[in-house]
Amino acid sequence: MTNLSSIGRKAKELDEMHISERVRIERSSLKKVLVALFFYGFMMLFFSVFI
Amino acid sequence: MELFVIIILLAFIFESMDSMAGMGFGTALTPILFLFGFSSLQIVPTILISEAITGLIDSFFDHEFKNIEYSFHPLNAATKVSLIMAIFGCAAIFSSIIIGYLAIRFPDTLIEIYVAILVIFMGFSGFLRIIVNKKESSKPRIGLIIGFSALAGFNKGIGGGGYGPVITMGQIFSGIYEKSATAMVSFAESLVSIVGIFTFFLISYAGVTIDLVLLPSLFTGGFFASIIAPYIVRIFPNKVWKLFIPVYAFTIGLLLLFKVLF
Repeated sequence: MTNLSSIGRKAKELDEMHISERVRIERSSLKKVLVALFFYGFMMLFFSVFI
Repeated sequence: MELFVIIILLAFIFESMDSMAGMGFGTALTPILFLFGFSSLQIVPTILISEAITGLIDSFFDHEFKNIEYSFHPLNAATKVSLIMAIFGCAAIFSSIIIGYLAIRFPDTLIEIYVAILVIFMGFSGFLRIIVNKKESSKPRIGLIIGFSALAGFNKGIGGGGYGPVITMGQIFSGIYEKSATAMVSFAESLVSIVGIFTFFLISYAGVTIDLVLLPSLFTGGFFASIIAPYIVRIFPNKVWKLFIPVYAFTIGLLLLFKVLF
């Protein structure tokens, strides 16, 4: 088993930052949210056909 | 395809709580859906399918919002621990099928009371742990993680439920950072749900009819929760989750006990 202490290291580092840092979302993350919304639309289309 | 607004709202609330506290989606939502008059063949498969998809989305955004870090090549510690938990969860599903197949009867009420008391005890211990031990978590212990995973799997396997509360609190007792513990449980639960879905497909081949009427509503509520909840976990400091998780586990335990006794 690798180093278990590494679990949550980034979360701890982020917790030590100011809330303004934690609230801010990177542009790449926003793009992934948009891709997820597209996936949601696809799934609902799938359900409307098969359910 | 039919969408039920109340089911969407409930799925959103309980998937958010499940994502933030690592427990409660199935435990809290199932009895409510029964109260609405849906049958177990309408509820259980749809919860499993919804939980499998939204759990993976939730895990993706937990990683994206830095509540946890996964790596598959090579496997890092977080991924390995999640897989260990998932293996015990899958073993629990198989054992419950075998137990059902062999028609071995355990006294249901006794098992459910045992699991409810265990969850209440773990929630209370987690709360006491904050009051007594103010310092940060010690180094995580793999032996304890495996032990609690086995205990959670055993409880689920004999039909007592409570997989989420036991495995989440177990990780925290083992020294895992709270934010990361709930993230890993979401990932493990989504893998376990995939195995559960296969089980239902198998029984549907045996002639049992599965009704997926609830799926679009459960998926809609769960989907938006699985993006928003990891972001909320990111924003609030860990000390909030340190308190929130045991209190919610205690509440879930009381709910389980209430369900058995009344």
